[in-house]
Amino acid sequence: MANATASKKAQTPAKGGRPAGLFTWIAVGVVLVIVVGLVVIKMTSGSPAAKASTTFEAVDATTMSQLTSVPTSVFNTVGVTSPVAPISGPSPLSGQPALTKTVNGKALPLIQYVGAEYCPYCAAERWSTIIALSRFGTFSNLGFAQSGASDVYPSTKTFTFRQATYTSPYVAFSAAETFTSIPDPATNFYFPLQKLTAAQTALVKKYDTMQYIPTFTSTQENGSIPFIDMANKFLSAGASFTPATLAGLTQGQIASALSDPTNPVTQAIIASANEQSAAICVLTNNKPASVCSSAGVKAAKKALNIK
Amino acid sequence: MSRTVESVPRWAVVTTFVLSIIGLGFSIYLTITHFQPHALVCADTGTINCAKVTTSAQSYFLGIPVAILGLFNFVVLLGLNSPWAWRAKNYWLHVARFALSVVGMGFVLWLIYAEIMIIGNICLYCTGVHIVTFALLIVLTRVTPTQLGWVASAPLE
Repeated sequence: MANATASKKAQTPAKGGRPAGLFTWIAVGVVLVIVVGLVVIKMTSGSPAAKASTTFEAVDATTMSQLTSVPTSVFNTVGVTSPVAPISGPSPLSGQPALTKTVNGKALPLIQYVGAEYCPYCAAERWSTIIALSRFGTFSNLGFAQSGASDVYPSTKTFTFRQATYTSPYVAFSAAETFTSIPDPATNFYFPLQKLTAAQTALVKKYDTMQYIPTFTSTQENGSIPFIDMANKFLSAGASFTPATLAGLTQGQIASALSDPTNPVTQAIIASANEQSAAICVLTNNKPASVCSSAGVKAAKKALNIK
Repeated sequence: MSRTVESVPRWAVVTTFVLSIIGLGFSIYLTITHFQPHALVCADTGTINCAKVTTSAQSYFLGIPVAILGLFNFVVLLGLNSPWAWRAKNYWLHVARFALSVVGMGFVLWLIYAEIMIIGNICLYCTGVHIVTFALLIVLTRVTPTQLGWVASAPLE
């Protein structure tokens, strides 16, 4: 290290012949030019939201396969372990009338989802819901989506149920995406998408409330989305893991990592999917056994106190 | 090789120390609200939206919360800008202070870019940190080159 000596005077012999304020003027100039330049560029270009399209974009075959064909070993290895993003599972509901939907003449337990495309919590929840339900049936017509660019956890990459259909011999699934993720200047909110039916509205009004959702701490949380009613046997409101987990990742990046049980994002999604699967197994009387007797679902049943 | 370290005017010592304390205060608050978002008190409509900025993908850098990086930065700066550190004769300690300030300003410019161009919202507390960092850079670019003999001395006192 160099030897240093201190002098008591600020005025010292010149070195290099540069004026003392040169560095300051350069620093101030560079910073101001960059900041002003950014503001000017921003003001002269359109906002991303204004350019956003409402066009439906179907999920490609590769992503769909990665999403709906998660290896059993991944479910079993992850179980309910998600150290980076803690999971909250569906809460049990008892003493309520059965919620069913008749499909091909057969009354199946109905899983009702209510959400919106702008909603970042719905964005996170759809990943695990789609994966869980894909163990009991088949989705088609899922679309790419992202949460609102001007909301918290902006532009969280996800899917939309707006045109999706689901077939299963065990359960029925119904979804309502109430708003797009496109801001509507007229209402200062988002463009509406799908209206709830009277039956869906009744479910939300009754069960998406502090009376039935144990995690709600005030009536102001009533009506929170995403809201999932699993045949009036289990309820879920809000995301089961924080949308921050998915920040900065594309659907392709998230989906391609679903075969890696050590990936923290995969762990959050799969742990939540296992807990939803465990709840669905209650509705299906533990069918199919290949799912409901798997190690991952057993771990989830234990975590949720399901016997 | 011998390197000289000149003394700096008292106003620079006081100003940088006070700015470091203010920056540390902002950083502590932003770190707390990073882990407890409900504690964040800030407008959430229009251009000003702290929550949107502090929960954005850009609130992490190489997997580390930016709030924690800011906290670490100001803890170190508080030490480097203390009157005791200013009196130190170690040449490289003063170089480190100056370098950290320049790197910090570069990082702040990236965060401003993220706020304006990517997120589309401004966080008031983050802006407070940016202003403090800029002010520190101004003071340090004014006194450090003279202190370390890089430029001609000027009447600073």
